Amino acid sequence: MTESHKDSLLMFGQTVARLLQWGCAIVAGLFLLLVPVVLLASRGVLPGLSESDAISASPISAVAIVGMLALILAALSHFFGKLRAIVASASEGDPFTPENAKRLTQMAWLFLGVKLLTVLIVALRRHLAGLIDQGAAGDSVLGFSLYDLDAFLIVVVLFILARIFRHGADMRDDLVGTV
Amino acid sequence: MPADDEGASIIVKLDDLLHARRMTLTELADRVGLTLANLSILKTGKAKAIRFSTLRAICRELQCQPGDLLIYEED
Repeated sequence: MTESHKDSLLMFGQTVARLLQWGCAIVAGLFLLLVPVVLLASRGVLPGLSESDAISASPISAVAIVGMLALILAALSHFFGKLRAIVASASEGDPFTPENAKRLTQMAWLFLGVKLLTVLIVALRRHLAGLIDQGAAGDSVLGFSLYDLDAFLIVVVLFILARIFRHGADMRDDLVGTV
Repeated sequence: MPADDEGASIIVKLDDLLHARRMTLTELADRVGLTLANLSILKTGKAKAIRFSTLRAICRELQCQPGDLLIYEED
């Protein structure tokens, strides 16, 4: 009974991870498509968008923000792909492998990268808001916060889990030759 | 500091014991509740470790002591 509960939980986790992986990949692609649009708008090619305060104030910053958002979403897609692989190995009953330890380490680095890019985006947004000078700094579209320490906590937990999985893989290796 | 035991090995005398008891590996596997594959690993000396429960079951079925089954040998 407990096992079937665990299995359904893993199946649910895998479905959610798959949805998030593809969702992030699609939105990352859309943001990537926005980069040339913002570039064209900054050169006055697109009349409607060229009047945008943010783009005309600092085209490079606007392009950088859109590009970094695409990078963040691509990293998150990669992150959820690795999570899917770990959940799949757990479903097969063999989660303690060196590959999973490596995946967790990569997930930690990816999340750290995402967090650092988020901080950069917040800084750029503030820079843009300062240029526009409309008091729009508090009007956050994406709701990023510089003081969000939760993400750093997740990074630390992921690194610890990676170490635990590495130990688990070593212990499992010992068990293989035990009769 | 532990002594370097490279060049020494543990010899598993399961084949000799089975021969003396006129018992097959399959029969022993059935009696001790191990798979034939695992018992073969032990017999051929490819096992990394042996559980006390396995050792106890083999000694019980072959009417022997652990020392009859495992021998330390310097190369």
